[in-house]
Amino acid sequence: MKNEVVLKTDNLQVFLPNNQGILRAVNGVDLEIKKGKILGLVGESGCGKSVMSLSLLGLLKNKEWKIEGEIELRGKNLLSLSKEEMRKVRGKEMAMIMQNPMSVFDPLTTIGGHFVDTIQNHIKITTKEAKKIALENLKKVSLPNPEKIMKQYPFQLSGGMLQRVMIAIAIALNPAVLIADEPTTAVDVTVQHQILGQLKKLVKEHNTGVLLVSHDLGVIAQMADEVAVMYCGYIVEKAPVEELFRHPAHPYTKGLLSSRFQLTKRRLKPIEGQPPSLINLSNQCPFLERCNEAEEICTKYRMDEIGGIKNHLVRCAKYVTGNEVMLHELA
Amino acid sequence: MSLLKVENVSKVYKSDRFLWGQQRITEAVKNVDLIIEEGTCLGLVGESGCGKSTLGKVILGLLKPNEGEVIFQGKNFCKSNGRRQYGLRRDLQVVFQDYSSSVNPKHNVEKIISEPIRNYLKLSPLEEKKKVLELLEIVGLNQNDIKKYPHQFSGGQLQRICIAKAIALKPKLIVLDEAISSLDVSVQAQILNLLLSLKEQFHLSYLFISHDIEAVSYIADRVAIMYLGRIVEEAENIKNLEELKHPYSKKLLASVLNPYPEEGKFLDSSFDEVSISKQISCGCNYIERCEKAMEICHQQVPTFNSVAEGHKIACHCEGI
Amino acid sequence: MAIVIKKPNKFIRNHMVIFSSVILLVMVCFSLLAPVIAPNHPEDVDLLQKLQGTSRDFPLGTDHLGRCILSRLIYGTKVSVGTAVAVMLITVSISIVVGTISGYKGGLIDDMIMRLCDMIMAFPNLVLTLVIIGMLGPGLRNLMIAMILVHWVGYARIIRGMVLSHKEKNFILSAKVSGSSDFKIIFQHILPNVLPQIIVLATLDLGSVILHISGFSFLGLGIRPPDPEWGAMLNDGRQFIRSNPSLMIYPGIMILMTVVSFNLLGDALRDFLEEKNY
Repeated sequence: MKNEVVLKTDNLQVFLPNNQGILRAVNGVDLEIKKGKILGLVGESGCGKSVMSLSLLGLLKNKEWKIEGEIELRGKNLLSLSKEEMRKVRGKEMAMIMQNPMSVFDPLTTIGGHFVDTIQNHIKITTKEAKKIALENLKKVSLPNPEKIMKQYPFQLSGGMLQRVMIAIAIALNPAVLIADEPTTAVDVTVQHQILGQLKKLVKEHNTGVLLVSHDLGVIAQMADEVAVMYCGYIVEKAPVEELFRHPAHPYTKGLLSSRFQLTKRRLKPIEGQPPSLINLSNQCPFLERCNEAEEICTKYRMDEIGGIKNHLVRCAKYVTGNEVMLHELA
Repeated sequence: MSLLKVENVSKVYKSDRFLWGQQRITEAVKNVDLIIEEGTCLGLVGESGCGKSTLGKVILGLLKPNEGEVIFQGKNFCKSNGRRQYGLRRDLQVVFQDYSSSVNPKHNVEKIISEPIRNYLKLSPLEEKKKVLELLEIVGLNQNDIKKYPHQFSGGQLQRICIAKAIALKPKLIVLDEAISSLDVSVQAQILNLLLSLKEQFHLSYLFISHDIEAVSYIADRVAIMYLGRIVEEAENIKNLEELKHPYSKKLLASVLNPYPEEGKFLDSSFDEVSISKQISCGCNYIERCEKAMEICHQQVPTFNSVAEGHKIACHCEGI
Repeated sequence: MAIVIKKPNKFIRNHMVIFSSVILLVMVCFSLLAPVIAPNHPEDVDLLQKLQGTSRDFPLGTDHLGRCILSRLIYGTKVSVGTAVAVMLITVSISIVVGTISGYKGGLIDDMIMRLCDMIMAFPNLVLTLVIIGMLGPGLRNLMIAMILVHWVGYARIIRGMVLSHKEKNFILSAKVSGSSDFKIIFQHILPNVLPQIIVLATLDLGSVILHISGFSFLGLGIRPPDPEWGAMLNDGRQFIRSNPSLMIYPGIMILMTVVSFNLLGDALRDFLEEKNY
């Protein structure tokens, strides 16, 4: 099957009760990551996208986070797994690429050591064989002189090189799902361009399903096959990449697109105001106060109604089923 | 007379020699010339470690250059000290990238914004407060925020507070050192629009330092591209950035990821990175990454050639 | 992402703070109102009443010279705790001045001060204190001088480090660009950020200073008999450890309680200040 779903979340909710109320970071997220496809998740800082990716891996640091709903990896419910079973899933079936390569690597272990550790944690092979796998993977990310890099320490490599190494380690065990949380935010633009190219090439080769989290619309547009836009923990719009960028439907997506500079002097139209606090979020439209298309019906709209057409879903009062004019526009 | 003139400025960092180890010398800025006219914005583009922030600090007088001069409003800023520098400082302000460390966490908004006012103007406490409220309104913050502390604000709001502090004395030049880089996309646009309207309102000049060539093209009147301590290209009044000619500028432009998937450019998966330590004393800095490198590039540092009105480029391949 | 960290069991912590504050308050009362509270004069020798147990006249009994133990403990508070607080205050004041100058100015001054610190730190604390007392002669004042001379070095280094780390922050650069003088920068920006941590550190260290003073008195280098002091009382009771252990137990408890109280208070203070510092 070509479009096999490898990771699926069903009505995923992540929240943290604290002394001021309930911090709702992820609200009713349904996502499907397909084999060999890249799902882009866009959103601004504090919209819950990092919490979401950490919850998929079971890596939320604070024990008091509550997760509801379902996370299914190849038919296996991850939320019902024990700690030890989850550890086995991480790295082997699900891998992660993080934002800041400098702080991810242990400065006292060589690059080769990191590889061998990760590989031997999951499969029983000798160090020599593990090293061979490591070398192969380092070659795949086109780093010059992989034998030398194996013996080097993290601080001897630049940020861009470390990010490549991290990609190599992540794909070493051929995981089914790769979660890339802002993989190129910490590197320079010219380097970002190359790393993204590398990542795209590799996941297509390995047929890995990828969740690419980023705040940069350019990165998402160039990389993703399908895009989900997140605002205040809700997926407000989800569509195939060309569809989303050509015909954005949700006012927030439109706002994001119009606040990007486009190598012109045309006056930008940013979204005014600030996103609301995630504490005690009601299920009213969280974008209502900043929206310039808000109408009377918006005040009655509840976020659990999903509108739009089959592969272009929008959480906006205007696109709920029944509003034929707007739906026609989408189609 | 131009507002700011940077003449042949070089800044060298020397590491301490450890026992018999070799002393490492890093040339952060090398023979840089820049001019900023009144009421204009110069965009300085470069990647991390290219010396753009060091240059900003030299211009602000926070670092002393090893060579060269910074002339601000006709007065040599580096050589004047104490009293005179205090006078000149009034017209020269800064906004940093890292908004959270740019404000003292123990001070409230009123104290933060009124710092420059207290240093230069002798106002009564009531007038001072009025002035702070006025500034808060200009940068689009709520007047009730005056007693709040930095941790109660979001990034965009903190950056607005820093801008309010910078414009408090109606300076002539503001150095914006990656002022929008750590903000969200939609907030970046808000802040840039604010900066543009302030520029018109108070007739300000900006030195806009950034790694983001798109943002620079939006706000700047003139663009200077910096690579490993040297300015490699300078262009005035560019309407179309495609006119930039230096191989490095072209590479920067090619790296811009546009949000139009149908125009999807081929993402390059090759590897070319240069660590900053590999500086070449003779020859062009860019040869290691340049596709057009010729024999002469290894031997001679390229000098500036004018290719068009107000468009200079330092490359052996172009403009000869 | 705003992840809220909950305080580990605030309730217990609060009780600890109340407990330690009460104890310290009692100490302060003791040292200020000793003549009123104490049942007897601490230096009244009565050989007929020596090594007595608990009685109405002597609530905690008497020592080998027949002096009231409770009264000696109460009078000793002033010397033990008072001296420690004074030593700490002077130490911190000196090291703030030196450390700030050294960290902020840098260059030659910094080098000179730090080499001096290195020299002092090259000797073990205890040995150096003993040497200084040896030169000045025993006595409470000389002990205080010796302890200050030895202790300021560590604090000066810590303060210098903190000043250095704050000096590089953008808000200092921003203040410079706003035209603030060095004096203003130090007092408005650097010290308010450094002081809270130093206060916490000093509170935590107070306990060990009390122990030091008691220790030196125990060695006979601090207070001179017959003046009451906890360490000296421990020393006196040493010979009777088998027959009358209470001679050592009571001053020991006093020292322990004070040290623990100061430590708890320091911990609580740190939590409080860090909480404010988001």
